[in-house]
Amino acid sequence: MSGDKARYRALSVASVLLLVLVWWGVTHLGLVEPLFVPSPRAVLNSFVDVTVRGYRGVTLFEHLAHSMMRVLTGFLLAVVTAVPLGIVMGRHRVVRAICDPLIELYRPLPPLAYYTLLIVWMGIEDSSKIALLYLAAFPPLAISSMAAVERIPEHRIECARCLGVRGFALLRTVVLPSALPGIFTGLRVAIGFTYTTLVSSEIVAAVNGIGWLVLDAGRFLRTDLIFVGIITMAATGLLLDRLIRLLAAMVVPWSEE
Amino acid sequence: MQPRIEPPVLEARSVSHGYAGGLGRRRLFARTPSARLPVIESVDLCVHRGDFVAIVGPSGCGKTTLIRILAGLIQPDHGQVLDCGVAVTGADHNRSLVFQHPHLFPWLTVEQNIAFGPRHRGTVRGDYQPLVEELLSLVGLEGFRTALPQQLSGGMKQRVSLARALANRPHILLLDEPLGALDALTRERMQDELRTLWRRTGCTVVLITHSVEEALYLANRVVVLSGRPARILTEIGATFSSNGHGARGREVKSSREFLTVREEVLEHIWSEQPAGGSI
Repeated sequence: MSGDKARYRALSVASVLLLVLVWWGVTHLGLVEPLFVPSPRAVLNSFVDVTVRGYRGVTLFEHLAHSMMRVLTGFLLAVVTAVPLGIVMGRHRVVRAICDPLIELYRPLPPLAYYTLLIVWMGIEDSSKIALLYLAAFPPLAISSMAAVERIPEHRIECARCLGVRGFALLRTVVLPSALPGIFTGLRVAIGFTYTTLVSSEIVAAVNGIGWLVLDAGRFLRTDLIFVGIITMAATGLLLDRLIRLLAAMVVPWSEE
Repeated sequence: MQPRIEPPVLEARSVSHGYAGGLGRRRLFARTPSARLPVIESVDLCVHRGDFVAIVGPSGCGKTTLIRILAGLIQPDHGQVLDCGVAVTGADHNRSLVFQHPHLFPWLTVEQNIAFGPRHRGTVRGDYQPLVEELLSLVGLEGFRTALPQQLSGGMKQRVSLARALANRPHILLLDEPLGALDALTRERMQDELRTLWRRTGCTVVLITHSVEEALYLANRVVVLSGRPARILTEIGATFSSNGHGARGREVKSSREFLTVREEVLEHIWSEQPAGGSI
């Protein structure tokens, strides 16, 4: 088993290395203009440069910190509201009947569609972005929590009732732990979507942040910097996802998901 | 028969129940009792302290509905259930129901599963821990106290489920085909364990089963139900449980008298059952 795993892991690593090799080869042989595809070395150099000296006076990590602050604030606010609402929606059909259509109505909208409205209401600063990210994270969290609660086998609930546990204790000791694996799946979906929304919102309107860095670099045809920005985004997105998976492994070790 | 002074542990008084209109669409405003499909028809049952009552009947006859009514998970359309003389209005820990599938809480260890009831009803740990220890050894799982349910076999899971129900010190233990999902060999073993459990704890038990053999082997009273709607056809004071015959082992199942009684019970069920019905 573990030998198999190691072999597949090695294949995955090789596939990424191959991509970098092709990139290096194409630029090294001068097959494309450096303006369109800068060499790996150039990208590495500007990574070091933007990390140490910064771009227009602000370092890469400060931009990243701005972005992360927005993502995490919006996301956490959504978690503490959407997850409880989803759980209640899963248990009570009345609440579900009231809230479900509201969520379903705006869920298919690309968040950028109502972003302009949020900017008009709240300005171009952080509050409009946090509101946007909150709204983006809300539906996947609420819907996955609701679905997770609905999937709980009814017999398990009846079992707990026969053991004399009811009311809020039932919610806390049976419903919540039963739904946690599904809720964590929702967290993963939501963080990915929130992060995507963040970057596009920063590209549309911002004065800092990782998305803005890429937009501004584009204006000056700094493709090397665009590459730095994109790679950083990919790495951060991956990191956030891994973080949630790690958290899930710690909190719900019994889950098979 | 000695006269009994205390009220029966569990009593069903002319309990009838039905389900809403069969295959038809469930109408929102028209759920009159007359439109309901009868499942149980005026069942009277009296369970006294220390009884082991087995309820047998053809499959689909409403046995499970009956035991869910006894547990308080369903309110019957007519009649009522009394727990030690008090009317049952909902499920509670005095009548612990063990389901066909163990339904353990997968995030809790064996020990935590067993302690679940008393712990979450706000009992102090010192009060229930000795009983949990006792139950762990009763079901032979001391070595697995920190194991999670997914690490256990089907038989072990069902033993945890039994212990979890007993940890509530219920007035009565309600068993809904608890051995139905086990393989044949495990089932035989668990039958013996249930017998031992009953003998050692002296608890009161109602068991639902579709196996006449299991009913006769385990119970001191066997109640035979008809096909749907379920009525009580007859009751047999079986003499093959440990109380009647000392500790006769499973060889009793192949004795002549056992087979004769078994035939009689089956005869009752067959004669009632329209052709094509199944057990």
